[in-house]
Amino acid sequence: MLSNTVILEQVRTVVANVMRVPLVGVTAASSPDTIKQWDSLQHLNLVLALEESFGLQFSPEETVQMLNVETIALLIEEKQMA
Amino acid sequence: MSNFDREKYPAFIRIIDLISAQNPLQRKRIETFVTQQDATYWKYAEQVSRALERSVLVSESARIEAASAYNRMCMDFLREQIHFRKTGVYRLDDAQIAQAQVYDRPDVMRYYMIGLLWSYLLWRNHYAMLRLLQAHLDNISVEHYLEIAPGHGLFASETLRRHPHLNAILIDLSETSIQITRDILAAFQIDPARTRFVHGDFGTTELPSDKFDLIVMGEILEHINQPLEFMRKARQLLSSQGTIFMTTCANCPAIDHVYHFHTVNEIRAAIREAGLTIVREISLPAEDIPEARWQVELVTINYAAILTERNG
Repeated sequence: MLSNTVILEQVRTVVANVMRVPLVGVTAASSPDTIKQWDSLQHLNLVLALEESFGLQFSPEETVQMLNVETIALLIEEKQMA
Repeated sequence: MSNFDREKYPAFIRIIDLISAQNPLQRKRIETFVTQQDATYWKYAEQVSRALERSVLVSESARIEAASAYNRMCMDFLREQIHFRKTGVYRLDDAQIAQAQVYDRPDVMRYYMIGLLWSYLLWRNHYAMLRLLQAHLDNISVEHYLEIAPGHGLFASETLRRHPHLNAILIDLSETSIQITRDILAAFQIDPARTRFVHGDFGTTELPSDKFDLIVMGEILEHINQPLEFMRKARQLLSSQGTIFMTTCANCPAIDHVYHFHTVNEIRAAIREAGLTIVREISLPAEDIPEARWQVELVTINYAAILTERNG
């Protein structure tokens, strides 16, 4: 379970901004299956926006695993703790 | 894949099911595209898929490998896109480095060429370029045909199937590509006696002195250091009424792209400089955004054209 709700909230905000959807509609479970705009092209934009927002870099292997909001937040939490 | 006719198109849906299971992002992209396509597309995609299942994709493990190849290629493109969006330049700028990293590596070439083959059925722009080639082939007569870098073999299979009397010379840098092309042609039961493969660099290899009525050069110019010289050589091999079918792209990073066309106008200028005339062309952005924003947002533009020698 994610311990850092700050990270989760920041990820939700980035996702909402990139996908241009209301923040209220972005939950921890949000994914390409639940957000229509979240396709492979938007995923690239999302990865770049998350890198900028959190000051991190993701490997290509990580980017293809970042397929729901909670998973993204957990990955970011791990990277920040490393 | 939901709502698809699995009884009518089982082979094609099998492969896209495998791709989608491995990569949910691709599932969405593919589903968005294929649901918009007509019966002609579905019949063709099924024809290609069945031909491959009869030959090189007989086993489930081979089909899984083909799906993995496509997804691995997509991951490569994603990696290159990330670099490009951050820097504005391609990661490589020298074809010799691409040779060492890609063309001389059978493991890389294999998945890359297999992935590219499927992209011509699964990507809107690539399918549109394939359709342009098909339409052109249906409207010309050809006696002498040259394909430069057949790669995935799909263009060669289209040309040789539509012109059953035709023999081909196919030149490629990569032995793996040559083998994949042989496999694709065999899948469509094209007599090997109709093809002569040359393993070499088109820029430095002496070819038969006959002129060619049709030269196909798909996705080449962005792979070489000096596309202008390349096109000039192709023009010299063209018969007086012959045509070149070419595809290339602007702002399109890839693991082996070294020459960066920034705009379609740069491509057109190179074509003119090489002494060629554009008879028909299509420019296809990878994203549905207004043309005025293509350059600012570094949108990938796929470009295909039919060319003849310029007179006067």
